[in-house]
Amino acid sequence: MSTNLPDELLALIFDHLAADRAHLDTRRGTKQGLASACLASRRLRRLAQPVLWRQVEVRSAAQVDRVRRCAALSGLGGCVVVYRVLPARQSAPPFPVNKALAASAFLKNVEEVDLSSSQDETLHLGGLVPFSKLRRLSLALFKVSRSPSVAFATLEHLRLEDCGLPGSPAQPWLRHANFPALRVVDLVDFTGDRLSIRPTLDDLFGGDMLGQLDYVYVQAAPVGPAADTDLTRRAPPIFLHLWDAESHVVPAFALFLVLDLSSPKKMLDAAAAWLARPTAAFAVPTPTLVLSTQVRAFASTRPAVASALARFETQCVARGVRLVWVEERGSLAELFVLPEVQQLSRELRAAARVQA
Amino acid sequence: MSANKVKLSTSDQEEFDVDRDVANRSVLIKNMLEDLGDSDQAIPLPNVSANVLKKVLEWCEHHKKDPEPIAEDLDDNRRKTTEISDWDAKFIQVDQEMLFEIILAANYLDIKPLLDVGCKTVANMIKGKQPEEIRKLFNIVNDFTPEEEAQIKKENEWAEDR
Repeated sequence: MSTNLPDELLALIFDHLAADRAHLDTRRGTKQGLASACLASRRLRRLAQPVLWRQVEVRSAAQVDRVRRCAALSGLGGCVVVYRVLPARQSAPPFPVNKALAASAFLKNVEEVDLSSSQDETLHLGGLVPFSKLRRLSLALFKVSRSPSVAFATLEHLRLEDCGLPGSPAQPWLRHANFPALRVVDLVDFTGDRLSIRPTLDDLFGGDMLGQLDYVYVQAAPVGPAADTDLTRRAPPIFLHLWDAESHVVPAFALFLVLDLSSPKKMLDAAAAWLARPTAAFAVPTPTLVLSTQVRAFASTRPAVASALARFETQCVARGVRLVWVEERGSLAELFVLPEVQQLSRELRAAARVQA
Repeated sequence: MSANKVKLSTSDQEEFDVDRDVANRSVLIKNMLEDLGDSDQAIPLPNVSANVLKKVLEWCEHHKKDPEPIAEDLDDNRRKTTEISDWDAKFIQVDQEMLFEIILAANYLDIKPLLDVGCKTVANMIKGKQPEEIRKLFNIVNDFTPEEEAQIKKENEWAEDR
C-alpha cells in the first residue's frame, strides 16, 4: 500500500460520512467510524474529531453529562452544529428532555436542535435561549409551556410533530414577535386530544405572521386554510397539505403541484393531465411540478414510457414549467431545501407584492 | 486529428485518443481545451498514470451525457448522501490502491461527481470500523501516547453505542 490521501481529501471523506442521513442503525456505524478515526492517529484525530462533534446525539442523562463536561473543558462544544435529543431506550431510566438542555450553555454554535420526548413532557422554552444561533428547531411529542414570551430571533425553520401548542386562537403562540425570522413551518400529526379545536392557519399563526412565511407543510393534521379569500391572499407562497399516505399533496392555493410519488405510471398520467390545462390556469410566474425520480427509473425500462416522458419534458420547457425531481417519498417533507423550490417561493412572493 | 477528438498523455507517456465530450467531464481538461483552441498537441496529465486514466475514462464515457452538475452551496450537507448508483457501485469495485488513485485523479482532473463516488465509497468503508482497521485502511501508524488515547476516549464517550 503506497497511496496516501492528502488532508483535504480525508476531510472530504469524513464530510461524506457525517452527511449520511440514513437510518439510525447506520448512523451508529458512522459515529463508530468517526470515533475510531479520532483514535487512529494525531493527523486523523485533527480531521475527524470536529466532524464527529458536528452532530451530537444523546438519549440519556449520563450522555448529556459527558457532553457537557467535555464541551466545557475542551472547546469541542463549539464544533456542535446539530444537537439531537432522542427518547430514552425502553429499558433505560426515563430521560427528561428538559435535562438535555442543561448542556446548551456550552454549545454556542448550534444551529439545529431536534427534541423528541418519550413521556409527554412539558418543554420549557427558556432552556433553548442559550442557543443564540438557532436556525432550525424540531419538536416531537411535547406540550410546549406557555413561557413568558421567549423570542427566537434567528429561527428560520420550525417543525412541530404531535405537539400541543400554548396560546389560544385569540392569542396564538406563533407570532411575529416571537419568531421574527421564521420562514418555514412543518406541522405533522396534530390529531388526537392535544388540541381541542380544529385549527385553521389563522388560529395557529398570529395575523402578523402569515405574511413572513415562505413555506408551510402540513401532514396528517386537520389544519386548513381558512375559508375567507382574504387569507388566501395573505397565505404563504407555498402551502403543501399532505392528505394521507397514498394520495397527492394538494396545493391549497393551486400554485404548486406534487403528484403521487408512489406510482410512476399514475404520476406521469396526472402530470400530463395537469400540463394539458389552459395556459390561464398557470397564474404564477413559474409553474412548478415536482416528480419522483422513480418516473425516470420506470421509463428507463419501458421505451414507450421513455418517449412519453421525453415528450412531456419538451412540453414543460415549451410552456415554461419548471420540473423538480425528488429522489424519494421521504424527501417530500424536505422539499424546501431544494434550490428550485426556494427560488419558486421567492418568485411567488415577489409576484404577490406586485399584485398588492 | 478530428475536432471531436482529444489527445491525452499520461505520466507514464501513454497517449489516449478520447472523444471531446468524454474528456469534457474533466473540468481541468475542458478549461485547457478552451484555452488551447483547436490543437493537435497532446494534453499532458503528469499526475495520472495510464491504468488509472483508463479507468477514469471508462467512468467519463458512461457519464458523458449527464447534465452539468448544478453549482451548489459547498456547505450544503443536506444533499450529500452515501448512496451510489448501481453502475457506479459496480465501477468502483476495485482494489483499494486503485480506489485511492481514482480519488486522487478525480480531484486533480476536477471531476466532482467521480470524486464524490470515490469519497462516498471510502466513507462507507470507515463505518463501524475499529481504530486499528482505520490505520490499516489509510496506511498510518499510531502516534498517540496511552494517556492521549485515554483522553480522547473520554472526550468522545457520548458517541459510543449503548
